[in-house]
Amino acid sequence: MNKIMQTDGGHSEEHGLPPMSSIKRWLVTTNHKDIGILYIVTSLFFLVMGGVLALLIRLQLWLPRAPGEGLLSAFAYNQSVTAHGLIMVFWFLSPFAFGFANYIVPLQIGAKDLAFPRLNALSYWLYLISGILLGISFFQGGTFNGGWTVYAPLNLPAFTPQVGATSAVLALFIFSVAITAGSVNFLTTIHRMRAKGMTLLNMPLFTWTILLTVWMMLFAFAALLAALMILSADRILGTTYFSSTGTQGSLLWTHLFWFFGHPEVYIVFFPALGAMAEIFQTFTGKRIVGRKWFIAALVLVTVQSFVVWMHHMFLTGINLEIKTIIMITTIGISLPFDLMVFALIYTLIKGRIQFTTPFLFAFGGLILFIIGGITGVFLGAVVLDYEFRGTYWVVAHFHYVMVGGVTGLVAAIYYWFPKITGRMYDEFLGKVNFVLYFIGFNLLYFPLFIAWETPRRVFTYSPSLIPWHQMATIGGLILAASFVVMLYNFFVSLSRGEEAGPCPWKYASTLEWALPSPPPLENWEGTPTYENGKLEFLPDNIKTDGGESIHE
Amino acid sequence: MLGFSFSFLLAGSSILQIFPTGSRNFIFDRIFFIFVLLGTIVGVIVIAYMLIQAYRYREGSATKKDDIDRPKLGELPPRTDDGSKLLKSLLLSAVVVIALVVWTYGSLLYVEAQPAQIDGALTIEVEAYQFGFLFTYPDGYQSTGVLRAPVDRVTVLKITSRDVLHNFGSPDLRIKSDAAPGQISETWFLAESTGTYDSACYELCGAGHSYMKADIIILENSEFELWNTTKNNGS
Repeated sequence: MNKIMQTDGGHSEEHGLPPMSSIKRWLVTTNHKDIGILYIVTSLFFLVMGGVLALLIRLQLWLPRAPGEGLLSAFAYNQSVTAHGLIMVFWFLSPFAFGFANYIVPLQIGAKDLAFPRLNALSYWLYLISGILLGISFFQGGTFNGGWTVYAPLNLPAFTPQVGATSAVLALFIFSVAITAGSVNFLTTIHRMRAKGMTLLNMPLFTWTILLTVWMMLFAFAALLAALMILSADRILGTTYFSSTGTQGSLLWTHLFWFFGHPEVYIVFFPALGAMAEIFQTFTGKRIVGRKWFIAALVLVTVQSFVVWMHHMFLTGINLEIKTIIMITTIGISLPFDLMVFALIYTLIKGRIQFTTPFLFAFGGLILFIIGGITGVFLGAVVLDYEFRGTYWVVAHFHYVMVGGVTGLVAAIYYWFPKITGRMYDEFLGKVNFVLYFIGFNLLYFPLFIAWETPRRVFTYSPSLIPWHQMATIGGLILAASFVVMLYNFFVSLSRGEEAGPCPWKYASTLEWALPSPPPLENWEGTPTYENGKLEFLPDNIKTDGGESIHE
Repeated sequence: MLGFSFSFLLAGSSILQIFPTGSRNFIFDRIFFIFVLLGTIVGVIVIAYMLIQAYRYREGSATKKDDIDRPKLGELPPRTDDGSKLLKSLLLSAVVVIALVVWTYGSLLYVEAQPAQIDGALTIEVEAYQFGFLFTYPDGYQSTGVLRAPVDRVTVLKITSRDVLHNFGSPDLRIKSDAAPGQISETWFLAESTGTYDSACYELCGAGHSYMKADIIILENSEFELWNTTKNNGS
């Protein structure tokens, strides 16, 4: 492997790109690893932004408030809950996961880069611009304040006249364009650029989840993009598609939004699940039990994710027959997840489990996901859903699922940190991080199940629930502190961490661990192949027929 | 094709006894209790099992001889079929989940069918607006902020909205329904005791959402009739 790096010597290996220490490098790069890093760093900024909003919400909820009491006005509170949701779901979770997808997927399948590197850079810059636009919207008379679901007709200028609300809609619009370009790029890459012998079924599970995620993105974001185009026309051109005078506008938006919105749940969760599966395999020293079934379950969820959206609308004027069908599909989609959870649990058996930081986060994430899954079955029972709708039961449930997913991605950042930086993180700080995170998480979200009768997006609640809300606020502060420890750990380890070497993990099996850490700009010399059942690198000049200059 | 009928399920009341029926509170409390009980049991068993296995097979607990083929760098996943245990577990969990949800389905049918079956139910129209509720009684009398209804008698609510999407819900009476502009949704309740109950908007609807509330006052039948006949006289 070392031969790869020595052939070309320092400068030309960077292909004329400025060195990583120069700012210009990050502005002009189209390399998938660079862009992966850009995604990860940028998304962590949005994590901080969404997290600060969450803490504002929690501080406001320290006590039930009368109008004007507490840190936030009613208007500011509605902006906070809306922007918190939008930022965490759109600008943090998916881009964080796609930071890893950018960096790791081409390495795992043996591709030199994504299929369209410039399009990839465009996706990133559109993402950044959309996020900055959302940030600016706070200062344009207030950002959108009608909830992350942007329900009609509250989303019309008649009800949310702020310029900032229009900016937020445009920001979402640009973000959707970025996502769509990105999904086309990943689809082409994963379907067309795999190494020989790396069949679809042979792909590592992280790559599998990214493939299915981008398929879901392709269809789900199309619906959102359409809805946002119509909404932008309503807000800017004065059309009246979602206008309250046309009676069905609100129903139309709700359908379009949730047709996107439910697959979106899996879009943000799948990458975490894939990362958790790889981390389980590496640190238990056991291959995933029933891998084939695991993949089948993933595929099943992907397809089914498009036929469950109306369970967000059980109270929104759909008839009993449709409710019944949606109830059945909803219960149906929980079953493949059961299978995947069992697969991960059975992987532990006869393992040689190393309790490293990434494994602790993956293991903890699975526990949180199980709790989120069980409490989700409650919502699948329509009679119960009627009462849970709009309450903290829903809030607690989906935070267990979604932030359970974040837990899997934190596992991923610890897992791939040595690969990306070439340095080991500090294991002790990592464990401190995990303990704070797990305690903070449960202290924050579990009391919300007990205080479930609190209405959502409201800062008045029954005084009998005060202790639970105060517990949650304290948990929120601890959870925030755990991220400070994480960022400090990475910051210090970047310069002071031990050299990681190509593969610091005993039982890692995927291609990226066969490369130096960090891998060179072009990943490898020669051509990786699995043709003979295991990874080999073929020298480049075997098939030279004078076609060298075709690509540039 | 979707127009199949559920009436056969409602025909025999003996079948209905399996499912919780009665007031909305009773139905919710019974089903919620069973779900919490089973959910806790399943959760504790699964998580305890995970923790035990993780501890048992930690590295260094080398009591058993290690004859397992471990993952190797650069390998392709071997084609082995070790899914039988998985599928058995899946089957078990499917039976539990499906049984639970089918069991609640009977109650859903009861909740959905009830208003149509009751003669003499009181019907009140609810119009939500930014930021309050307007109640209209059968004789056209209107009030905002307070809904009066008799005890032990089914009250049907026909709910709509004047402006944006709202949701009318009362946690005390276990009812909730969207209030969408241009659309009427229906729900019902049966209060079992007199008193004042809370209700509020459950869908973010604008700056006043946190304070969009109304009282539901449940009166004895005679008191309600007295109020009902005199409400148009006074102020």
